[in-house]
Parts: sequence; structure tokens; C-alpha cells
Amino acid sequence: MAAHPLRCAAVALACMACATAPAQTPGDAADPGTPPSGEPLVVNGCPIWPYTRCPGADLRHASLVGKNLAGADLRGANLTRADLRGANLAAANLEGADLTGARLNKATAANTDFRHARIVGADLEGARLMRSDFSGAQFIGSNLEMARFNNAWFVGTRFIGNDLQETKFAATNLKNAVFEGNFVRYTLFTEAAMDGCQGCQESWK
Amino acid sequence: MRNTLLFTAALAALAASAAQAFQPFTPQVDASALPPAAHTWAEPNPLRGNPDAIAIGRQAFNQTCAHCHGADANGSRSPAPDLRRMGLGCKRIGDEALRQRCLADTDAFFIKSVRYGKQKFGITHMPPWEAVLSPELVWSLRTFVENTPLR
Repeated sequence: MAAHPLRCAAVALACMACATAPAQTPGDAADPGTPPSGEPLVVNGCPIWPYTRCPGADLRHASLVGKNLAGADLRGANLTRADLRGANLAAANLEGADLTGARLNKATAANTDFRHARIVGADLEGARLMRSDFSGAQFIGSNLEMARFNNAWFVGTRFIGNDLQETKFAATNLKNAVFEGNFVRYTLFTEAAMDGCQGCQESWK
Repeated sequence: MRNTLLFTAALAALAASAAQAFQPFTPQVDASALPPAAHTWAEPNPLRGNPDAIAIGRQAFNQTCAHCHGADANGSRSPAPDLRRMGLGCKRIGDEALRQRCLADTDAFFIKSVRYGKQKFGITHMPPWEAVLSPELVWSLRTFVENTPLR
């Protein structure tokens, strides 16, 4: 009976060793987003680090999960089906970028420039997008559930067939925006400016 | 609802007045020790590692930037971002060419922010400094900030 606690401890230690072993050998194929040497990821000539300057970069299908791209210059970049879950895009410039099918779940993109961006079939569930500028952009068939757009601007932005369940549009500028066929259960429009908005409902105010 | 509106308006006015009350001005520093080659807006930082630039940058920083970014660049309790964190990750990069490119990217963002300031939706969060700060002085600010450890 006395051997039991010892055996348990040994098993526990062995398990801990198992769990920590992959972390001690960087370069294993465990995380495809990290190059073997521990050096920064470079995708099609675009280095992935804060303030990187890659206007027009080809980042299609890139795995950028949790990457820090704060202040990055990604104007006109092609981010089709890019995986940006949990990534940091704060203060970045994505003007005219293509985010078709991109995954931005829980990403941080506060104070980011998304003017004239194409956001089609993208997943922005739970993303933090406060104070960003989406003027002239289009959201088509995207999941914006629980996304926080507080204080963002949507001048002339088109929202067609999106899931806006619990999406926060508090204190946003929706001037001349267009809303058509969206799912708006529990969506918040508190103190939003809606002058010239097509499809904005009286009940939203 | 009205209270929230009033509070928001008061906050916005406060923030706007704080930014507007702080007008850009030329700091009183002797920058004669800086090489004339540094008189350029082009990155990378021409004064990187220059001890004179660190000393001059510190003086200039405490006169012009410290108001929002903290004395001696200690931005841990300041309203504006802690600039010591800019480009920290670059220093860990082993590949020389990649490290230089990373630092140049950070330099470009720093210079752009100082020259043109930070305006968003008609609110000036930081005024433009291009008219009152010479390029060599801005590079010495950058040199000081990147040589100031986080603690």
C-alpha cells in the first residue's frame, strides 16, 4: 500500500515529461506557423512581425494564428482564407485588402484601417474591432457574432446577409450604410448615427 | 442615456483639449554633436547606437514627448503608448538581414507617427511634429527610446 503514492508520483512525473518534451525541441512539425529555427515567419516575402510593410502581399491561406501584426502595412493585401484567429492587427492598415473566407475569430483589430476592404464569407466571431474604419468596405455572408465594433466608422459600408447576433455597433457611424438580409438578434446599435442608412430599422435606435 | 451621452461628450472634450492644449514646439537641446548625415527622414535609423544621440534624445524626449509618453520614456503609467516596446521582438532575430529589415520597419512607423501625428475621425490624438523637429532630432529620440530598457 505504501508504494502507491510513490508510483502515482512517478507516473505523474512521466506524464509531465511527455507533455513538456515537444516544447523542448523547437522546430518539430507541431506548429506549422513557426519556422524550425525559431526565426520569424516569412510568407511569400512578407515577414510576419509588428509594423511589417507588405502592401499588396500575397497571404492567401497563410496560417497567421496569434501573430502580432500591429501597425502592419497590408494595404491591398490578399488575405483570402488567411487564418488570423487571435491575431493582433491593431493600428494596421488593411485598406482595400481582400479578406474573403478569412478567419479572424477573437482577433484584435482596434483602430485598424479596413476602408474598402472585401469581407466575404469571413468569420469575425468575437473579434475586437473598436474604433476601426470600415468606410466603403463590404461585409457579405460573414459571421460577425459578438464582434465589437464600438466607435467604428461604416460610412457607405454594405452589410449583406451577415450573422449579426450580439454584434456591438455602439456609438458607430453608419452614415449611408446599407443593411440587407442580416440576422440581427440582440444586435446593439446604441447611440449609432444612422443618417442616410438604407435598411436601418427604427427599432434599432 | 442622457447622462452617458453627457459623460462621453465630456470625456471627448477632455481628450481633445488635452491633445490641443499640447502644441508642438522645438526642444532646447544642443544637437551640434549629431552627424550631418543624419539629416534625412529615410530609414533605417542613421544614429543607431550613437551615444551622443542617446544623450541628446533623452533631453529632447523629456521636453517634448514625456508629457504623454512618460519621463525617460517610462510609459508604464502614461496615457500614450510605451515606446520602449517598439521593435523589441526585432532584437531576438538571429538572421542579420531580417533583423535589419525588422528594425527598418519599426523605424518607418516611428518616423511616420512623429512627422504626421495621430489623427482619427477628426480627433487629434498626437499632433504632427514635422514642422518643429529636425530629422536628426527625431532619430536621436528613436535612438534614446530603443536604448532604454523596460526596467
